Amino acid sequence: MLLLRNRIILSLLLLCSSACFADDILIVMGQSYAVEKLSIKQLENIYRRKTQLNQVGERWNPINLSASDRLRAAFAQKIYQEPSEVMEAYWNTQYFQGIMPPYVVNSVEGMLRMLETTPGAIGYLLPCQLDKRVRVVLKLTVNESLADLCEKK
Amino acid sequence: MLKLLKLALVLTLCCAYAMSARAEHNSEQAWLDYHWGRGLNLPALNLNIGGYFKASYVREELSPDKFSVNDLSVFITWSPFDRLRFFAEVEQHNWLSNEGVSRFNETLSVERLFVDVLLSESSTLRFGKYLTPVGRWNVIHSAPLVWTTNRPVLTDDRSYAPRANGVLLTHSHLVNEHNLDITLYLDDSTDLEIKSRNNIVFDRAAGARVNYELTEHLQIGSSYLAYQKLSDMALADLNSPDDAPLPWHHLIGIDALWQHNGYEVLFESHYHLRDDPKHILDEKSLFIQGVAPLVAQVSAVARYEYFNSSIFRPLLQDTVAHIGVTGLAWRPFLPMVLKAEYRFGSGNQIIAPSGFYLSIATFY
Repeated sequence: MLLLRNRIILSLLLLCSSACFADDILIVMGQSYAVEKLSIKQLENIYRRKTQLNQVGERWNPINLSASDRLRAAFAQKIYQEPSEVMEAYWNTQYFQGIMPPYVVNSVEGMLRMLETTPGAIGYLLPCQLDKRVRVVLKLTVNESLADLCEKK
Repeated sequence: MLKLLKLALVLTLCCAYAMSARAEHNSEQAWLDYHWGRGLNLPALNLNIGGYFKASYVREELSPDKFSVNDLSVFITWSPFDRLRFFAEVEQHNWLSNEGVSRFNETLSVERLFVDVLLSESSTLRFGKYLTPVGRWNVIHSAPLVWTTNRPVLTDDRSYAPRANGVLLTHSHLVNEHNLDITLYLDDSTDLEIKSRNNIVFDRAAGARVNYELTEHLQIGSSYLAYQKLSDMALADLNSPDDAPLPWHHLIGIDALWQHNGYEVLFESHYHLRDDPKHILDEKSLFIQGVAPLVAQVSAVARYEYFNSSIFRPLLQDTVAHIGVTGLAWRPFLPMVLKAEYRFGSGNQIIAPSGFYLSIATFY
């Protein structure tokens, strides 16, 4: 009986390790942009530079955080379903086609500034990093706790 | 001369406009940025200059050993406006080897030269010289991208021209949240071909390709190509009039690619025939290649190829070749790859001799 109870507790803990620590990543654009909604697949195509123009004929400018950033790793895993290292092989192929990877900024503040000033710019941040310069077009839920990134802010 | 001056003036004005337009926006961006494997980037101009390099050592049966610098390629990408993108690739091919140095002009070729017009979020129109979209290998054939030093025989330029000149339309569509890509193209190489080094050059061609993402990790594709080629003039009956039409070739292909966590399986097959009762060509070919990661960026590669072509009939009784390739590829850095492989088989002496191959390739 005791063994069964321990197993149930262990199972609940394992289940919680993925579900209880889920967090949201917000996909954001500048306030002036007219897109209302995006699907995850559309977002993936924008970040893979497969879709290069938006509905109003402006070029999409996807923005990434630096390769070592945990928020970028969680975002990449969610939309590509591959670790960001595997995606580098994809970018080698695109480079041969003359297509460059998304522009990289070093901080969330840098991302916010680019989103505010660059037409067609799209980026991602945590709910605690949201401010009035941008608006949300999609919310992604990832199986990882990113709350400590807010504490560092 | 006047035409060149006009072209230079237009390009300068475009550059100045693009630079002023971009400079207003991206205060975050450096004006000049170089990354190994991603080229020299000028964000203010939306201009990138890069390329790749390949050198190899070949020890084939019945041939002397050969060391050569196979490819030195330069790409230029320029997007002066949101809807417009120019791309050029110029390559110096096999200009330096242990047999000597070739003349610069003889080994220089224009590999690609096109302009893309982005018609909408899902459609692009391309004008110029581009890689013929048949199967998967031909459009990504550069040495740093592929896993073996040798190309599979069916992707060699003995069957169809690897580059076409003309117009190409691509359209992408989401079907059940998976990408469906459709490509249609028309070629008029007789009038548009620019400095080529290929064995086969199209006279005229038309083709289509469809690619569908079945899952996140699996894609399937199919290609159709109909073409006339200039080298078929040699087949023309000497007694027939000069303007006798060249025979049409038809090529149908099926391909698939599965990739996950560094593992990869690539499959391509072609059926190729010539519509000419006097000179029958009937060719069936396929290859399947697997890649598995081992340790520390080293992957094992194995490939099997089947090639059955009536083109060998006057020379060989057996028209079938079975070819195997086995080797290792080490990617110590993302843009660079070192490959070692052994090729063997039966009936392969003419088209793909057995031997040992070493190469190094990098994007810069």
